[in-house]
Amino acid sequence: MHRQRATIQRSAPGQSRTPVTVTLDAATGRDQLARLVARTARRSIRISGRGQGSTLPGRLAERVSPGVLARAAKGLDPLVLVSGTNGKTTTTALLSAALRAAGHRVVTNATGSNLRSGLTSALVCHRGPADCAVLEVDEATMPRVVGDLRPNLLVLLNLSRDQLDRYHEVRSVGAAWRTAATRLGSHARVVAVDHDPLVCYAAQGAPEAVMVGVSGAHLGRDHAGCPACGDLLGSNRGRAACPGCQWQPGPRQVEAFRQGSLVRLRGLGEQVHLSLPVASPGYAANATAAWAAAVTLGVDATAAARAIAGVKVVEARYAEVGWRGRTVRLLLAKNPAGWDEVLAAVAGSERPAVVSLEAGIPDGRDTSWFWDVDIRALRNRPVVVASGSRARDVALRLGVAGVNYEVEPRLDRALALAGGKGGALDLLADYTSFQAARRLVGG
Amino acid sequence: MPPGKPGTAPIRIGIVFPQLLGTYGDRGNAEVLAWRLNARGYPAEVVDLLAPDPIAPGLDAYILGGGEDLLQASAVKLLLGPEGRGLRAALAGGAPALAVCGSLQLLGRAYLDGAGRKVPGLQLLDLETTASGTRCVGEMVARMADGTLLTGFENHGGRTRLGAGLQPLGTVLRGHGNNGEDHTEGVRQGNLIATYLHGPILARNPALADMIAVTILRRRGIDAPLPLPPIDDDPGEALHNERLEAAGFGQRRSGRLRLHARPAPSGRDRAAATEPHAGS
Repeated sequence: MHRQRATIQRSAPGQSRTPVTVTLDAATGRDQLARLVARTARRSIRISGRGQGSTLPGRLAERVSPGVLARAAKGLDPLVLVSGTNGKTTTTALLSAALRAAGHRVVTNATGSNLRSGLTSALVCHRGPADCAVLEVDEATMPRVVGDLRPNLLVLLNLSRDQLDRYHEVRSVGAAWRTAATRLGSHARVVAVDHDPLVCYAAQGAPEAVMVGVSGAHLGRDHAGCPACGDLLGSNRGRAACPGCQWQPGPRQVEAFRQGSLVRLRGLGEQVHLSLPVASPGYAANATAAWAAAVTLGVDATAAARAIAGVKVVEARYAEVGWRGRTVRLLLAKNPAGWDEVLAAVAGSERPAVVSLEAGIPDGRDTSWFWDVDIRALRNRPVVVASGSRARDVALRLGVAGVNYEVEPRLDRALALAGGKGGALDLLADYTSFQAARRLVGG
Repeated sequence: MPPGKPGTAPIRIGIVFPQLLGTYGDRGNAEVLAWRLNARGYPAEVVDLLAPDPIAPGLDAYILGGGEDLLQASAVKLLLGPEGRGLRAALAGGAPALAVCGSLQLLGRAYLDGAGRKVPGLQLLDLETTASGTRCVGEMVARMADGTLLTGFENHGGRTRLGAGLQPLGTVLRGHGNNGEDHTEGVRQGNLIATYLHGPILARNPALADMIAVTILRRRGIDAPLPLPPIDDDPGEALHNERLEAAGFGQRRSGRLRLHARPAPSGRDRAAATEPHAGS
């Protein structure tokens, strides 16, 4: 059995780093056994081709050694949690890149397994030296793991409707976020994207928060109610304001000014320019949050911007993949706000498209939300093929919106139907469909 | 195809307070209704009735959706006040309306919100809703009195009991319905239909949508036949049949739905997910 040694560097902004060497598995024999079991499980899962092994190993480790998550997180400094309805995986990758550029060795859950078991897997299966962690966390799970993981930094991106059959109310997730923020250690900080009132309200509960946003962008959904009192929100000089209880989102410390894919970031006493691979307000918001988080953690502002701009594709999102003589652009769109984001990023495109809904458990099994997507934006596509096990729901929505559509539940046939060889097409897919597409076309 | 009367204004279908009562995609009901009317040659349009503007009383139909607890409470406050006068008058005058989920609750005598507070409703329906520890979540199938099957997705914590004189919209064959006990689903009172079914319900149930469409047309003095003429390659019919089959129920024939010999799956279809989204 391996004894894994890791170098832990504790650092705080403005202080010099003092390397300390500890054993990650110093805690108990049980933890060592848990690690062994988890790693063996991961290896078996990967060898047998049954996936990444990103959740089961964590579950086993927790079974073998209850509480292993908290102990595995000890010594990782900084430890950052990234949460939100959309953009978690991307922002986690961008921040990880920025920290690596500054010489950190980062543990992360890059494949997006973001429940407790996925976090445990990431921490106990990690091999090699690591001094810090950047973990994306499911928005409902985040408040439940903050106590164990004791993050130095919480990055809060956005909150809108998603998987209502599981989460029921966005507002209750927002309330749990605020409670989590109020319970952060006094050393901990929050970086929050300020476009969603619920996110602002949660961040305002933290000891210290850096609010970031994209100038002039209208991001997010479900903004009608005041996060504090529930009254209908009004606006004051273009920003949300409650006429009832006077709640406001508060000042913005970091602002992004976007022109297409070019972004200027200003705040925290710095100013940088960067060019992003995706020209959309949502991607700019993610990059801004990652940059603000990195700078808050002491990374040089220019180096952080360069590293963030250097990340071209994250987990196949927006990837252009060759498949049977065609180019398929993979677009993950799993809720109304996510669709807004993707439709903004591909606005003007006249490629044929496939829209696929599986509505599995990770997607939410009620497809009603699809009626809140402004699908008329696809009217300029020569054809849109409705696909997935819920192809009939997609077809009706397209028909009612006046989009020229075909129906083909099978994804491979749908892609072939949408675009001939030599052409390029877009696939807009919910989470389950997106993963299926990656298995089919690669990326 | 019977044309809409030349020179008449298009049929207007209002969505009531979509910012407050728009959590569950129920605006699709208005879109589908307008589309089915347009497809038959009757010009129709969807109008967003944004809070807190007063609701106009003269629309042809009103669609009310499901909202979150606090937003629903804000909506009730407005609907009981001067902003809601137009809607109350329209409903009292028999305007066709469809109220889904939270809106079913708020049209009643009272309901309990998530915090257990009793909130007085609009008193338009003799029903009352109490809270319950568990939510009713999952696919539902119900049968209307004329045999038509309804398919939809329910997601509610409230338990609704109908007053003695009220007719339910349907009988639950699968799922929970109003309260999970008496097999009633929704309510129908004159031209007002209230239901727990999302999907949206009119997207998944074209026969119900057409029934409402005919009510709208006749109130306009247009002699529309029921059933309305079929729509070519109707994607609504295709969706209806696909959803019923997925739930283990039969095929639709000549406007009626029949059960296969297969027995209805018993009531439970809770979200399997206490441990949700396991990632990749």
